[in-house]
Amino acid sequence: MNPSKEPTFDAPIPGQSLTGELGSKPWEKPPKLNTVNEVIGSYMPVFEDKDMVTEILNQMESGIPIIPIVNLLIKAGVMDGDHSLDTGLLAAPVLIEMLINVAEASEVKYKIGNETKKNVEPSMSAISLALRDFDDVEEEPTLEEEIMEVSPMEPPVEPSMGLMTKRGEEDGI
Amino acid sequence: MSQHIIKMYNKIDAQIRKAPTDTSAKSNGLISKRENSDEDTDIIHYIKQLRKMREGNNESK
Repeated sequence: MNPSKEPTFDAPIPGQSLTGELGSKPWEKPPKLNTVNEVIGSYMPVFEDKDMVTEILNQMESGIPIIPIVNLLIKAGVMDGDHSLDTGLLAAPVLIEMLINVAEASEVKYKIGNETKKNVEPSMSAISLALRDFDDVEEEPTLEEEIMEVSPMEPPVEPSMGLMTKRGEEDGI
Repeated sequence: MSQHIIKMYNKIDAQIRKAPTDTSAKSNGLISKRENSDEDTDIIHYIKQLRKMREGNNESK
């Protein structure tokens, strides 16, 4: 058995989070910051921290869009009990714009993450896979073809008027 | 959550790009029309300022 696929028994059991004392976790307490202005202000030190900005810029350069980064920042704030999810969501557009400014000032290529996909062309691998499937379908004989090969049927007889004329002749018409 | 952020960002972006209209709250009734919340206007103001800053930086390059 692959050791990575072994079941782990040290994980929390379902419902364990509900057994703790209410209010023992930071996100269960009233948030420290209550307004959007306060929340935006609390994130400003992030953009002043050189190490943090470098890390965020590295992520942007590696192709991670800005919105998931902002999502992480907000969730971390909620988890620490700094603000509620609602105020974090309201502050998100400002954080996105801040990160765009930082990226442009540092001349780093970035993706916001809200771009809609239009006219997405299939990749070469997808095309080759589809062509391979198409070839496989052509090569394999179908069930009908197999039956035809085993027992060749007589060519279908075209309906003629011969029977009618014969009957007509017999009836004396 | 990301989807909510995208929706929020697109909504505010559209609001900023929209041509300015008369937003004054006029009403003939007893109850005045509800104005935009302060939080919304704050966010729009912040974003406008940040975009102005960005444009200024890009022009100076």
